[in-house]
Order: sequence, then C-alpha cells, then structure tokens
Amino acid sequence: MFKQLQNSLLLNHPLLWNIKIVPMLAITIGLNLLFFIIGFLMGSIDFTGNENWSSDTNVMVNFFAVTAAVLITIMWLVYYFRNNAFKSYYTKGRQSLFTEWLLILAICLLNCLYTASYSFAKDLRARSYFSEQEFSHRADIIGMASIFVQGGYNDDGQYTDTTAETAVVQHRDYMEYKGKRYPLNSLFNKALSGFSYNKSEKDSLNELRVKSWLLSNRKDSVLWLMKEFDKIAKSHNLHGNITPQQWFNLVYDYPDFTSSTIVGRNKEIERWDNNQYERYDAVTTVEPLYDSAHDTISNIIKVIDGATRVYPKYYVPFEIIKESYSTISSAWVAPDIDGEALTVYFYFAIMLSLLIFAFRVTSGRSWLIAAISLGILSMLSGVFSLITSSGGAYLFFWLIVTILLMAIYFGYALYNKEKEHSAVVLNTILWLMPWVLPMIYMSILSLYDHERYGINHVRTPFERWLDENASGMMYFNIALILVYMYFVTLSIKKWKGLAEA
Amino acid sequence: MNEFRRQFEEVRDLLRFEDHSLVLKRLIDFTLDTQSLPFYRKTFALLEWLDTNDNDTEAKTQKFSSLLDELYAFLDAMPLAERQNVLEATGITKRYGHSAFSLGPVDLTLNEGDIIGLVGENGNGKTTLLRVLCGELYTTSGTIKYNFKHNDLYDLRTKLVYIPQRTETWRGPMFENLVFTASSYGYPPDEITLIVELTIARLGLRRFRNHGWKDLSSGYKMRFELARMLLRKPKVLLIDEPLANLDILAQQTVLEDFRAIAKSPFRPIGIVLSSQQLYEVEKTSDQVIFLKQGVQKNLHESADASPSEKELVIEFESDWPQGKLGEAFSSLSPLSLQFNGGTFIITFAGTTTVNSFLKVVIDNNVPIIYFRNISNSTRRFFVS
Repeated sequence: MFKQLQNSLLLNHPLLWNIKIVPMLAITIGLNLLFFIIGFLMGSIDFTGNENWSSDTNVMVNFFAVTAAVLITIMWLVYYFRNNAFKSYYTKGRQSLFTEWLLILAICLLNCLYTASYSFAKDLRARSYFSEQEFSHRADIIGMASIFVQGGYNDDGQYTDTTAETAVVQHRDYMEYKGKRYPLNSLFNKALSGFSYNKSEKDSLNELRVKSWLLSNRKDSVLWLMKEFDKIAKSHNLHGNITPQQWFNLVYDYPDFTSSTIVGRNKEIERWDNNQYERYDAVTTVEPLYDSAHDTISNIIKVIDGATRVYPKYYVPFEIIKESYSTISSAWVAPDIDGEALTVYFYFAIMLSLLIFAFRVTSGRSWLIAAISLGILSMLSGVFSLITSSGGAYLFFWLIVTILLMAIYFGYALYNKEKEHSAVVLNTILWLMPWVLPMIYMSILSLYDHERYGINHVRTPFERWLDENASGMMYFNIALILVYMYFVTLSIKKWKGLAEA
Repeated sequence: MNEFRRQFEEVRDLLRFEDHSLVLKRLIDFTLDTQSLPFYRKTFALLEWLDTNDNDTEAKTQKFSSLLDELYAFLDAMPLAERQNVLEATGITKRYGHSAFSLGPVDLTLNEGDIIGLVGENGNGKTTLLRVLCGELYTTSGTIKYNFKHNDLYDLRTKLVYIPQRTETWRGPMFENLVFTASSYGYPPDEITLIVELTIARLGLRRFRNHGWKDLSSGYKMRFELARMLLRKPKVLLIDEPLANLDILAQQTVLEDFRAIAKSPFRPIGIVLSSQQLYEVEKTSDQVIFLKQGVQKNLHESADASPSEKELVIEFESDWPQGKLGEAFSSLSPLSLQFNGGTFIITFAGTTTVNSFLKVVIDNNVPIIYFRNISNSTRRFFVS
C-alpha cells in the first residue's frame, strides 16, 4: 500500500513524491508519538517516593532524540536531493517553490520536535493526575499544613539597630504578630512552605488564614486542615506515625503556640554526605547535619557504632508529598514546553529549512561560499564588538549587512542580464532575512543599554512594551517570514531564468 | 504525398526488408504522435510480446504490419503540424570579460523540424553559441527572438532544452527519473508510465530501465538524456557534441534518431547540434554552420555565392607524390594542390566536374585509395 501511495504521488504530485512527504510524515509523526509515549510513561510520579529517578534518563532520551533527528535528516536529504526539477528547468507553477519551502519547513519542524514531544508529555502526565481545581485545593492544604511540621521561621531575631551612631546588628528573642510579641519558636513565626503554582500572594493569604485561626483559637479549622492533609496522604497510600488528632494535640498550644514538640516532615531523613545523596530510614547521624538542633523531646538520639543517630519521634509524610506535588506544580507553572520554548523549535526548523531550500535553488558551491563568508564576517564582527564592548554595534553591523545584501539582490541582481555572484547573495539573504525584525528589536533595546543597567533607571512605556512583547515579536516575525517568503520564492523563479554569465 | 505518408511508405519498405529494429522505432514514433491512450497500450503490449518472442520473425512482421495499418488509419486523418519558425538570431555576439575570444556575429533561423549542425575546431565557439541560444549565456550584442509563448525567462528556459557534452549525474533508477520528468511536465497520470515505457524503448533503453547512472555507458547516458528531452516537449533542442564517445554505428543511430524526432509530421522540433563529425552531421542537417575563431561560415546558403564557393574541391588519397600528381592533373589546370596530413586537396575552377577529375585519374592510371567531393562540405573550411 505504501509503495502504491508513493507511485500515485509520483504520477500525480511529483513535488510531494520528490520531497518524500509520505515516508517523512510517517517517520516523524511516528517518532513524535513514540517520544510522546516515552515522555508520558517517564512522567509518571511515584507519590510513595520509592522511585530512584535520575536526570540521566532525560539526557539519554534527549540524546537519542537528537541522534534520531540527525540521522533522519541525512537519510531524507539523500533521497530528496536525487531529483531537482527547479535546477533542471522543468516547468514549475507560480507557487511551486513556496509550496516546496513550506513542505521542507513542515518536515524540519516535525523532525525537530522529538525532545519537545517528550517534555510536553512528561508535563502533561504530571498535570493529568488531578484537575487544576483539585490540584489548587491540595496545594493550598499542603502549604498550610507546612506550618505545623518541622520547617523554617520567618524571623530569626536578627535586626539592625539604627538608633546608634553606627548601625549594629542586634538579636532579640521575640517576634511581633498583630501587635503582640511571641517567642521566636512560636507557630506565628513559622514560614509557609508553598508551591510555585501558588504565587507569593496566595501563599501569604494562606499563611494569614492559618495564623488567623491560631489567633482566634479555631481548633476545628486547624484539625480540619490536618485531616485534609491526612486524606491527601492516604490517597497516595502514605502514612505518618500519628493521627491528625495526635498531630493536633502535639502542636496546638494556644495562645503562644510554642509547643516544644516538633513533628517531623518525613519518616526518612535525607542528607548530603561525601557528594552522595543518601537516604536514612528513620535515622540519621547527628554530626553531618546542618540543622542539627535536635532535641530529645521530638527526637530519639542514639549512639550506634560510634555515630550519633537521630530518630524523629513523630512524623507525617510531608516531605514526600511536597516533593511529588512540586513536580506537578512545575508542570503547571513552568512546563518545559511553553510558548517561548516552542519559538526556539520554530526558529531552528525555519533556519534548517532555509539552509536546505537555499541549497536546492542555488548550488552547493554558492551555498558553501555564502556559509564561509558569513562565518568569517561573523567572527570579525564578534571580535570587533568584543574590542569595543558594544553589543549594539554588532547588531547594527549585521542589520546594515543584511539590508545591503537585500538591496543588492532585489535592487540589482534581479534586473541584471546575468546571475554573476548573486547566487551567493541569495543564499545569505535567505539566511539573514528572518533575523531582520529581531535585529531591529534588539537594536532599539540596545539604545537603552547604558540606562537599563543603572540602578535608578525607570523604563519608558515604549521600553516596557518592547520588554513585555519579546515573545509576541518572535511569533509575529514567524508570520512575517511566511508572508515574505511567498514573494521571495516568486523572485527566485525570476532570478533562475537569468543567464549564468 | 504529404510528409506523413512519405515517412509511412519508408517504414513499409523497412518492414519489407525485415529491418525490424528500425520499424519498431518508427512504430513508437507514430504511436507517440497519436497521443492516444489505446495506441499507447497496443504498442506497449507489442513491446512486452517482443520481450519473449523476438526471434519469431514471421509473427513479428505480421504484428508490426497490423499495428502500422491501424496507426496509418488513425494518423492519416490527423492534420499535420505547420512548421513554424521558432528562433531567429540576428547579429549575436558574445565576449567574455578579458578573454581574447569572441563569438559572432552569428545569424541563424531555426524552424520546427529543422536541424542545424554546428561544426568547427575545438575552442571556436560551438558550445558558446549553444549556451547563448539556450539562455545560459546572455548576448553581448544582437538579438534572439523566440517565436513561441513563454511567460518569463524561467518559462522560456524550460522550453529550450540544452544537453551539454558532459551531462550531469542523476541518481536513482532511470525509469523513476523519467517518470518524474513526465509527471513534472503534466502528462496525464494514466498515460505517464506508458509514455515513458515507449520512450525508453524508442531509444533502445528498455533493457536498462532500472539501471542507475553509473551502470550506463556514455552512449546510453546520451540516450537517457534524449529520452528525458523528448518527455520535456522542447521547442528547441540544443545538443553539444552528442556524437562524442560514440562508436560509428551508435553515431549513425543517434543521428537517425535526431532526424526522426525533428521531422515528426505531427510534433516537429527544431534541433541545433554541434559535432566534429563533419560528414555525418552534414548528412543529417538541413543547414551547417562552420565556426572559425567564433566567426560564422554557412554552407548551402545562397545562390550568389563567392567564386571560391563555386570551385570544385576534391579530397583524395594516393600513393603518388605531390609532383607527379600535379603533372597528371595539369590538363585540368588546377587552382591548387595541397598535401593535408595524409590526403591531397585539389581545387579546380567551378567549370570542372567530378567526372573530368575521374577521367584524368583513369587516363593516367592514378592510384586512388579514396576520394570525396568536398565542394559543398564544411570540410573545405578546415583545409583552406
């Protein structure tokens, strides 16, 4: 069937046959699907914390994806370059070259997206565990529950005494909340350990909410929170060694909330030791720990084989839950593949398609001369901008070079009797034109450079608009490329008709 | 008798003498002239039959005859193509930068169905002229008028097919390449495979249909280029040194193919070809242009030719020394007798005839190995 399809394309749509659209779509879509499936499988979250996940897996998958893309590109080009109707002066429709470039672009894009498919699927899997509403609720519960487990404090008692002649760092043993002083170890001083999903405003509100319960002695609300947390833990088959009621009893110490019992974050305690990530089951040695304020009220301390080990007496599975929910949070707020990351893929595909297209419509010789010329020019301009320490000069230089080359091609070469060296110029403008708008954008921004890095610089509305719309500009530029390439391909057909010499 | 009937009678004669390979070629030509799918199928079926029954002469003759009759009935009703002028070049010159060489001025007119032969020594501008005519080089001065419809320069160059002496490498099987060409030129999809099969068979490439570029000899590569050219339906075909690297038999075959292709009663093509093979090209061409250091000299040109063009010039080979030959031919008052690298060139006034030359040879018992009247051949340009 596949052969029949190819044969039918050869007879009816020679361009589609020549560009090997069917096998390339089959291969690239198939591989994208494969990487998507791998990503989806790899993106599963082990809420029990037993999975020994390693970042090496990501490296391996990405390496495999890049290798596959390179090999497929080479294989494709070998077959695609077998025939070149345009170079042989076969009859061509008006839009034929533009269609050919779009097809090249589509294949390049699909062939570049393997890593994106993998990363997207990983994040999608992470997001798929709960609806966003449910996750938001759980993130709130976990964040608020963090106040009742071992964790950091907002105020460490350090303050700068500015009343003296010279500022002196002083220490106090209290903190103030709502106009009242509390000991530093009061729950009113506890910091909420939240997720990136909840912005700092939401975390602040949650912290305020819990502390208002404490202030107004709303036991039922605090107990409800602990029960909700327990529900979340049990939904992942995780257990602490205390019930919500016991947890409540241990930490709820109205009105100052300075209970001397600290509930541990996990059954397991982790630490870095000799650059090895080690996990101790319910025990740790005291000496290497950086936060070794372990007391015997909350912990059991034993000396075994000469090493002092600390066992938390009471714990809830907070750390494991926090870790897995952080992954989900990242998948929502900072997925690997978002609009900005996609522009990188788009631009890579566009540039690759233009390199291939330029080779197709000119010649290998002029393509190579253009590549070497731009390489040398790039090195020289780079050295020059380093000497002058001016990134703006570098941009202006390339902008002027691009505009000059465009003027040579559109203003002179197309109206000349012979091609002369215009094939080299054509190659260079095909590669440089996509960057005209970004170069203009960057050049304008560089005009503010001397001010931008000043401490007191206030951005102008225009500057702010530019800063905020960088991604939009890049997408607009893609649309611009698609539009101007239509006219450039028309000009290339006209140019091809010129005499060689 | 019109051109088609004349050609048809020639094919009938060929069949009478059982020259089946030539008849088959002409059968394919006529089949392609019909532009009719049923005929494509019939002739292709014949080709397939021949694959296994080539030795059955009697049956072959019968099948050929039968198909010929059908083709005649169909084609005789079709109007013949009018042979339009396709190209007029007037005073074209070409100079390359600082090079001392310059071509032209050259004037030529090409009609559909005409073959113009370009001859001349190496480096005298034959390739340059072909490249100028196909639009690969622009003219320094003069004009070239292409008398057929074209939208732009690219479109023009699609209709001017130039086959250089060193053809470019192509990849993949020959058949696939030719189908791609036919498909690119918009042949109906259901006819493409048949047309390619017929074209391949027409040029004797049927056995090599799945061969690649590197599997073919120079001669077959040239035939492949011709097959591709035929599928491109050119208005003008320009071929540089098509006979180079071909043995004498292949040269004659290719020239005969050119003639048949150019002179098609229904799809005539104007051909310009360059070659060093003077006599073969002269036999095939309607007009021969001799280029000497870029300057044009034409044969068969006009009635008011210069006195030197009306002279009798004979090239011959003899064992006698130049002096003895001079004495023998003194009765005919030769204008010159030159020794030209193994052969003698003797020139007489225009009133002398070949017969009087031969009479002297016989009367004086001059030992002649070969002789040729080159009065109307560009050969004389090479020796003068």
